[in-house]
Amino acid sequence: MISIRDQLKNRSDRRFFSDLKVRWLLAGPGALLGAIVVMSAMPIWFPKGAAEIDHLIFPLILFPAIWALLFFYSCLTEDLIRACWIFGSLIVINVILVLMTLFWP
Amino acid sequence: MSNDLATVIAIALSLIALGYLSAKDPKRRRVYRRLPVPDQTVVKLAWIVVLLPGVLLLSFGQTAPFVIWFGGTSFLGCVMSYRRPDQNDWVWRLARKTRSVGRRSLTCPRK
Amino acid sequence: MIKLSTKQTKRLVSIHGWSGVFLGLLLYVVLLTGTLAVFASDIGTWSAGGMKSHEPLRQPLDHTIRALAHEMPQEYLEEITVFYNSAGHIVVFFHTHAVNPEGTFDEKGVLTELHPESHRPIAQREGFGTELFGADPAGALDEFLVELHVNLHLPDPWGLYATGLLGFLMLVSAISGILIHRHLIADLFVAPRPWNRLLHARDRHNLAGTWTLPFAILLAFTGAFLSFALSLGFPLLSQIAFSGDQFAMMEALVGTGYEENAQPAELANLDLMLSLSAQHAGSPPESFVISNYGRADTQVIVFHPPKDGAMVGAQNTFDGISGSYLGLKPGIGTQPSLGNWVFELILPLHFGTFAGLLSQLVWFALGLAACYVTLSGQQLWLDRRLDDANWCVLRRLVQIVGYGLPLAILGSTYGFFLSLPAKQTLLWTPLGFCLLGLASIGLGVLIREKELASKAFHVAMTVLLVLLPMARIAAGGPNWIWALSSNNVSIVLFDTILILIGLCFFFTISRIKPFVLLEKQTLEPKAGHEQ
Repeated sequence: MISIRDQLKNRSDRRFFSDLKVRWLLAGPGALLGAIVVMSAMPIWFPKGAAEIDHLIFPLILFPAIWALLFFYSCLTEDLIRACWIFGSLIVINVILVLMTLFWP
Repeated sequence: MSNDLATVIAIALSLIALGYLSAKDPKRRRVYRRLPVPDQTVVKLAWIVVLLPGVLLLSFGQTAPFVIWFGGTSFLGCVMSYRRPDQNDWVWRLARKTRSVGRRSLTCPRK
Repeated sequence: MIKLSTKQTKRLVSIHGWSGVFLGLLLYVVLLTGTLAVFASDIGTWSAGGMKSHEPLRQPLDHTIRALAHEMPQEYLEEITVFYNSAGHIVVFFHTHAVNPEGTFDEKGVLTELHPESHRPIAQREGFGTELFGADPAGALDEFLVELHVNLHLPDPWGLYATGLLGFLMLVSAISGILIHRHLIADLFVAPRPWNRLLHARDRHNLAGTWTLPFAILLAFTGAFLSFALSLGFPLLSQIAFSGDQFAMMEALVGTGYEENAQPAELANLDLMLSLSAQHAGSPPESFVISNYGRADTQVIVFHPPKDGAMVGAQNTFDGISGSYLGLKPGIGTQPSLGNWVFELILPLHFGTFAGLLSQLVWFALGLAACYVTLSGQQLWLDRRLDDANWCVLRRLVQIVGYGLPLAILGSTYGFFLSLPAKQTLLWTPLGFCLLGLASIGLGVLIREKELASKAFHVAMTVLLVLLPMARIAAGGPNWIWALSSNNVSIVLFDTILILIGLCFFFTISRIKPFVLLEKQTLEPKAGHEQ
């Protein structure tokens, strides 16, 4: 007798984007891409500080921390759909910010 | 006193306290089938002694000695914990011997 | 401790294990070379035959710099960098800024090497900074080791990407290690239990990993930052904040802090500025930069190592024409800021050279501990799969790389010394590394029995380490009498340490045994035994 839970699990494994694949995509290219776009957009909104260099130096310093945060979130989360939304919106918002700065300065 | 000397003394102080903690550590004693230590009050005090040199260095604005103290104590603490209790028994034998020699010299003064 | 569900823990255990298995050996290469790079400058001095003069920039330099500047093309007077190399020779680099043939932002000019006392030119080369700084035959060994650590000798930017990703791996291993180890504090003093192979392997990995955890996170974070800041962050941010102008971004970060004035003017006395700067900083000058030489807006910045008890060195600024002291310049920007404070702290924390020998020794020891954690982690993984023949190759590989890397580094050192008289060190240092690396692979493959192979590796290490000081002297390096009489004690110290490490390898040969020989009856503790 197969339980409903197992049936659901089997169905999830048969899908092209199984939970495992989604998690791999989020923790691998997703976290890296997320960290790169967040770092790229940071000079736009980060305070410039007393010497007007904080907005340039902090994105560089925080890059490994942003990546680690996204990586561990995608590894530990149980709600992958929410994680996809968070990653997607993070990337889209930051890419829009960067494009706006590049093309409509 | 030079900063290097202060750092070495700070590391040594922390290590002595760590040595005591290591000897009285409940899990280490249980694993190596030694009798547990009933009173853990001194253990808490020993932790304060471990951290005190670092706090003092930092409060005197000695950032470089503090960082070296932190790294040095971590490394040497690891080396010390790596040794099995039976490998450290010579320390206790030496301590007992020193204590008994000291007691003898106090109770039986030379004529 | 953070409470994780069984599924989450299982996931993290998989990540911790598999990432270590696949990339652990590469991480070990970066860690071991990084550990040695803590002593890079001392290795450079040792291999170059000692310093001919101590604190070379304390000598009068004003006349020499003026004479050299007189011969230089006008464009190279934009910036003059003066420092001393591993051999203690004074290096003067007259340069401008330009994009090199690879398309990256670079310095272009004439580099002159001077004798530290007579100031007689020893060598002069013209070109881009990236080519000139790697072309000194006397500094080939320390340069080789540092480059191996920084970019694994892969072309830019791929080498920096690779080491940056390995920094990420180390960060993941350390953080996942905290999360999956449920008894982190309770196991802090549990010595590896010798009566069970797996317990022993697990205890030693956990113990070394736990004690050195803050250091591992610190090194991984700062290392990843340094790799990605140069290769990825800098070009990206210059694109976004400065429309791709890397020079403008560099100007904003370094900060000029002076008004442009191209009127001709005479430089004030340089020697007076250097001695005044040493008084302010509390340490001798390490290097200095003269910007816009011969113009009314000339500025001199003097760099000093940290004074006693401090983490960060000083950068004193002078008006180049009046010679007046303008104050301390932050490393980044023109005035103190939070960004500069954090940035200035990251560099010494990664390099470990901020307080001389003591900090170097501690960083070296912690680096070795990190190497031990990496290799013991792989050993634990393999011990858990002892009966699985599929893991046989990795078992061999761990042994070959574990011993082979230090052997190959010794090979590069021999290559350096044997080719030093012919000034062919730039070729033979990497070649020596490859030859001994290949020999190690051959040794590991040919000797199938693991214990016997370990003994062979120990013998090879002993022979190469003990004979190294002799090879150095045979190649024309200074002997101990000269070294001691000329205050180059570090050469004697290095030689002695090498011989001692070699002897340690020799004495540990007899202790290499299969684990099963550690008898349970003799090592298991007796119940009720008290200290």
